[in-house]
Amino acid sequence: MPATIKFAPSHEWIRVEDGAAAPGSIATIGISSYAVEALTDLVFMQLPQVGRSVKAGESFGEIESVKAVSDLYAPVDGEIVEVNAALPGSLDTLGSDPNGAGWVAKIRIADPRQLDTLLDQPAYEAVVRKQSGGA
Amino acid sequence: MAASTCGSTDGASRRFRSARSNGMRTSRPPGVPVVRRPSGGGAILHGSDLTYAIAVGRSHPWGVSAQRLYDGVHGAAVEVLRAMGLPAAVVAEVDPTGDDVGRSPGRGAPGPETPFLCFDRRSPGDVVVDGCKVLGSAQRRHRSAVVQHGSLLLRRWSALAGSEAGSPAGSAAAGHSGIEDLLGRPVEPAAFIDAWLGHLAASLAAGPAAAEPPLGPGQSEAVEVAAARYRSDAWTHRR
Repeated sequence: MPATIKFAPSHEWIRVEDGAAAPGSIATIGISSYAVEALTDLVFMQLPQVGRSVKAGESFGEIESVKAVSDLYAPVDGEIVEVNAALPGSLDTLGSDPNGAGWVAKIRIADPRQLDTLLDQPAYEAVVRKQSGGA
Repeated sequence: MAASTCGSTDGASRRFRSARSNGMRTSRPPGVPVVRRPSGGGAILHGSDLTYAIAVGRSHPWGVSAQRLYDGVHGAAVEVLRAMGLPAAVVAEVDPTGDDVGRSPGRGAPGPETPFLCFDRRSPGDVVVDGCKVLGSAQRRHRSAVVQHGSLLLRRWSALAGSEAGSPAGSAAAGHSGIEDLLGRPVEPAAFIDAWLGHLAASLAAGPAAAEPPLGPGQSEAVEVAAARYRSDAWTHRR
């Protein structure tokens, strides 16, 4: 089954690599290309600690551009099992490959039903259009 | 908004650590207390500036993007400065290869060449007069709200009477011209604030009103928790 990408309204994406999520499945979390572009020049990123348990909507990291600091929010409940440790040293990757090499963390999902509450690609794009001032 | 007392604030990131590693922390004028802002940007030596803060919801037209809020607040300040006779402008673009940008191109963190002080940096949205940066701001963007705060430089920084001014950061700050230096006359902060609020209100098609909003259940406690957090050394020296 192909991987499905979902989005939080706070602009994080989450992807379960093997498609169907079950309790304990590992998913990858990143930041949408729209958010990366809106943040402009990035200077710093704080990753979550591996092993940390997070709740959906909880801040688990920070990203700073030249003029703003934004929180990163967990899209679902779970445990952080891996982080992209190279990312803070190469933040350009977030802009060049936000859905691939620019991944932020991997999470062991506690409740896969939470994925159903997130936005699919068309719904997220509609949110982006609205925030951008489009129709 | 408030005219500040002497002290310094630093951006949220690991600037404090990089500042330490660069030996810049020791360059801070002796005896000047330091706090770390939850937002980004370079360090500011307070005492000769006017500071402000504005908070808007993320759903507010000015809250949806960082640039919208900068444009609104800084654009209003530019109008006031121009009315005072200063040729103020908003920085539109910055040469990424220049010496004075706020980041190191292609790097993931501010490099050793990144200026320590906010007023030595240039980034889009800054307000300049004849090339001198006079207003810089930074934001903390939460899920439901954004706070933007900034510093308008009134005059060149000088150390408090009796304290030592001799330090790299103090010397650099003493070289930054404020709007009084550029005008050649004093500026009354209260009058500037009134004019600024007037332009902000016009931009928002709203009227300014002084009010002390009542705190809801649990908010007083939340204020205390936040105050204790941001007052602590653990916050200031984190990372």
